[in-house]
Amino acid sequence: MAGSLIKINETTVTSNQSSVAITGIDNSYNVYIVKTVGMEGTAHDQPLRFQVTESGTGSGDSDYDYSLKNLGVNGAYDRTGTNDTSFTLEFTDENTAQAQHMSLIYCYNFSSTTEYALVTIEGITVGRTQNAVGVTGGGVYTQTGTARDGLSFFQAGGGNIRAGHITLYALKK
Amino acid sequence: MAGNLQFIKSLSTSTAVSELKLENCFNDKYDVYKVVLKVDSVTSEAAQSIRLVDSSNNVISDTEYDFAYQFMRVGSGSYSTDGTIGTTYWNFTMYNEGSVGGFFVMDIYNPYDSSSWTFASWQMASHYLASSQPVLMARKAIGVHRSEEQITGIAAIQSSTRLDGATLSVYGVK
Repeated sequence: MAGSLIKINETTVTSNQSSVAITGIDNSYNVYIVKTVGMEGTAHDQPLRFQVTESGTGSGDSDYDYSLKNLGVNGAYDRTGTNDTSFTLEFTDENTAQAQHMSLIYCYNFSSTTEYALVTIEGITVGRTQNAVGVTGGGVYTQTGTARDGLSFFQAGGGNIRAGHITLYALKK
Repeated sequence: MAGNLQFIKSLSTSTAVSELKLENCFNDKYDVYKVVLKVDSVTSEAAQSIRLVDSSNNVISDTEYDFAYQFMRVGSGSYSTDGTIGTTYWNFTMYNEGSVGGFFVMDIYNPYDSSSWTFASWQMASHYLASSQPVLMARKAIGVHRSEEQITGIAAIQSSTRLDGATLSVYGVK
């Protein structure tokens, strides 16, 4: 029996890049999943963030709303944003061993030009203190008019992404 | 075309045990796995935890496990969050009481990479009994295993021999 989780695209980061995009979302499927493994940044204690891409380029417009419950091994807290210029994940750090981020990001309505693009996020980060934080929540990109074709990841604070493996999957209709 | 979520192996029990251990289910073909524990029956109230299995097929019980969770339930009553650093398992991965059953789904990242810690994220849904009535409970949780070593398997463990109807399954995300 043919499976229903279909790999669309993947990219591996092995040297510093200011941003890393994964594209391939179109109207072939309703739901896409972006898997990130071993994402590392070069800046000190700065969050990994991501934008939706339009024709392969991350949109930096102030159209990102999100709400996250962050479950830390030493405490839980909420993180929200309204009219932000990107979605946020959690803090990573260049000097801390095992400071990495992993996540599964579900993408909905991306190929539509009339509906908002939605994401749900299930992630886990080890940051500056080597303590783990879970990232659970969702966000919405409130700009319409142009189809979104992927996600673009970067580290805030002028950092680069120095390592990571990103894969785009689709769920069969 | 084969899909990219691929079944690797599973283990079931229909007689009471204290541990369901799947060996050699993580390898170099995948970096992310989905683990599903389906519990149909326990002989008595039973909390359950998860430990990882090393490359010699030993269950790891060192104080290398960190985890955090949010507890939720239906009806009135509190929600709560908690976190623990340096314990001997990922706790509260499952709880069963009565005959309603429950399950969890866990995503495990990089277990086979001997230079990386193992990361996990999971959610469970089950029931406990309040005045003999089943009450739905759920937890959303994350954990890390703070050791750079190769992990090849996973074990669902209980402190008592009460698990008499369950299946532990592992899938690879290619």
